[in-house]
Amino acid sequence: MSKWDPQFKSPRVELLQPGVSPADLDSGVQSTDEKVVLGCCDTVVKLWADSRTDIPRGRLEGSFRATEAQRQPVAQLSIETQIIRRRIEPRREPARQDAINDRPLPTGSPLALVPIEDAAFPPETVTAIHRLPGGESISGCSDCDSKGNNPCTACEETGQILCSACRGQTRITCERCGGRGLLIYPNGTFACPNCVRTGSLPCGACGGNGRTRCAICSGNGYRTCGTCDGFGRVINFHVLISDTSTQRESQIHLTTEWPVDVPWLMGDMETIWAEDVELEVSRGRVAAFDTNQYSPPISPRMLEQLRGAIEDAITTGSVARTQVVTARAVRFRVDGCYLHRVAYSLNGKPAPDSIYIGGLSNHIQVGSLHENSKTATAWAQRPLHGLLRAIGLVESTGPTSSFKKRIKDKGGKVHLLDTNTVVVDAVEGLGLTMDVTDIGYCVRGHANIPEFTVELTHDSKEGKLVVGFIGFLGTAYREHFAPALLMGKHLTFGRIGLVMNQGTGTLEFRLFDTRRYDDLNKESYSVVLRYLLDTATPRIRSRIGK
Amino acid sequence: MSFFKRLAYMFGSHKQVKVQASSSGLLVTLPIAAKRTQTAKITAKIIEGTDPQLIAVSVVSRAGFPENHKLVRKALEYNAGKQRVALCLSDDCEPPALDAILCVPIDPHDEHAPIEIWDVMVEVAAVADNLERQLSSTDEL
Repeated sequence: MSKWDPQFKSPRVELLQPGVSPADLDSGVQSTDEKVVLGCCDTVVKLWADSRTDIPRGRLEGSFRATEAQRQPVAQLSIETQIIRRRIEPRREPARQDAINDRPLPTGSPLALVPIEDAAFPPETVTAIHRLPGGESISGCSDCDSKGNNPCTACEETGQILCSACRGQTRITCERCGGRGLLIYPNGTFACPNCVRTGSLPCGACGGNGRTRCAICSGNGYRTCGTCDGFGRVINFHVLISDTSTQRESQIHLTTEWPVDVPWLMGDMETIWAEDVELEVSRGRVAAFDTNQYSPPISPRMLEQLRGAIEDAITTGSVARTQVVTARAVRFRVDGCYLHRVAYSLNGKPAPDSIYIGGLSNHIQVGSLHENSKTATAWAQRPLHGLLRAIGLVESTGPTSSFKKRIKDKGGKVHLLDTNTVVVDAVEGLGLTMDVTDIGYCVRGHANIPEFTVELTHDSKEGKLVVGFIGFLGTAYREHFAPALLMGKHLTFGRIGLVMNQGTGTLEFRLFDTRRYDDLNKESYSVVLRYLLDTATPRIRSRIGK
Repeated sequence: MSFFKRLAYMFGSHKQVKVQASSSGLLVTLPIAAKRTQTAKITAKIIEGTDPQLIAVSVVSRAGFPENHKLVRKALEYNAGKQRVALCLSDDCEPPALDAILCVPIDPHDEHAPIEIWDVMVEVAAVADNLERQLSSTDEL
């Protein structure tokens, strides 16, 4: 770990976000405890906190203090690969003339037949069709057996079809009388004057013949062949079909894997380097990628990552087939900025997490993750819920899908807890200190001895967050079972429970209390905690504890 | 209108609920399931030193009478669960009875307080009724 760059002392904006050069991307993590830097981090975090609605204004004043800062460059590598897929297809056209170009095709390679277009990196797939010169031949039309026409299947070569109006019946039903031949009025029944009481009329569509001329073959009984257009011969030729598309991918590179997602940095970096690479094609395949094609002033480590990423991109597009598929050009850019990790203390106590600051122009995003946990547990606490939201780890409904996936991949559990800091406020209001554990808080008493734990769990039955208090009372002896259960009636809050200590195998009495998180506020939970600690625990211990 | 009067008025407005008020609290008999009712006793006491003034509302419902020591142990083990309702022995009768109990801190001036107490009462009564049925059938929890 190198020392902090001594020149890294300037006004706040430059201090946290100096320009990044390609050579800087090879720098490792730098750390410092210089007051100028820490004071700058202090200011940035407080400004950020004041701008957020989910953190009370001024909450950090006097309590927040940056204790150590680390920084490292972060690079985003964006690669675009133009992929050209070409194939040769046979086509036919009517032989309207005898002159053809029967010279053989100059080459069988689709890439060489027509010049490759300039790299355009189109946003959507573009298809171009080229007629290839040469290789033409004349042959009889196979679709009509060189007759130039085909029998009409619609009329079965008769040239006539059944009249659709009368269905071949030659007469249609009289619409006026509905085929009854009579018109019924309130004052009597009269003969239909339209059909003269016959109920039907001669079909006007077919003139009473029951058949009409076939519209498909115009009454000829045959149809002109669409392939040879009646010539009976076709010219066979070839076309080159060329599909051009662009494949895009981005990668984030950090020197050290810090447990933070950095998608929020992507739009907030400076472009420090960009280059187009024209790829050579040999025998239908992309030639080996040569890093000497360019000579950027870039660090060796970044160059290695760049080369690997580009080769991956090329490989995707260079699947060798008979009909050649190839990536033709690559362009990429490197964006970078510094990401800062700040250790801090709240009210003089070191915080178990860190704050991350990144981006340009001090458009600060601050994030935090509980890192001391052995599992990849994420906590949403004051003000960490806001911090976690800021870096996209959680949203209002819980952890984001990407964060869940990361937790799933790396193991661990996700708890989204105490977002309103009810428990923390209540505990701190009693003058107690606490440590964050994987499932809640371990609260220490005045002698810094663990007094009790508070577990925050999700009640799947009710779908609500449940706050559980567990305090140690003492070893349980059988003669104390009934007195313990009798005492429960006289407790204002809490209950006495019996558990088996998995470590020692002995039975223990413990003081339990369970509340719905939604039902609590700082005052009410303070009342409960105070009673459990100051009244219930000593009373129970004096009677049934050891 | 006092807090308990308000509770009695609200609970009594239900046709199937019977409310008896006394100086110490309320006795509420409410339907739990088809042809099954359960009686819950609601008492309250002031919690000193709170601002706004909070009261601890206790809801107790009788589940039955444990006839052996195994049930006492099982009741203690039940208390070690994550549910809100606790089991306890009540020595105001002979033999001691097994009660379901839950106590919550309430702000009596909160307009939602009666609803919260109703929810607590239903929860406690349901636990007591469930226990009562198990005790009457197999004498096991």
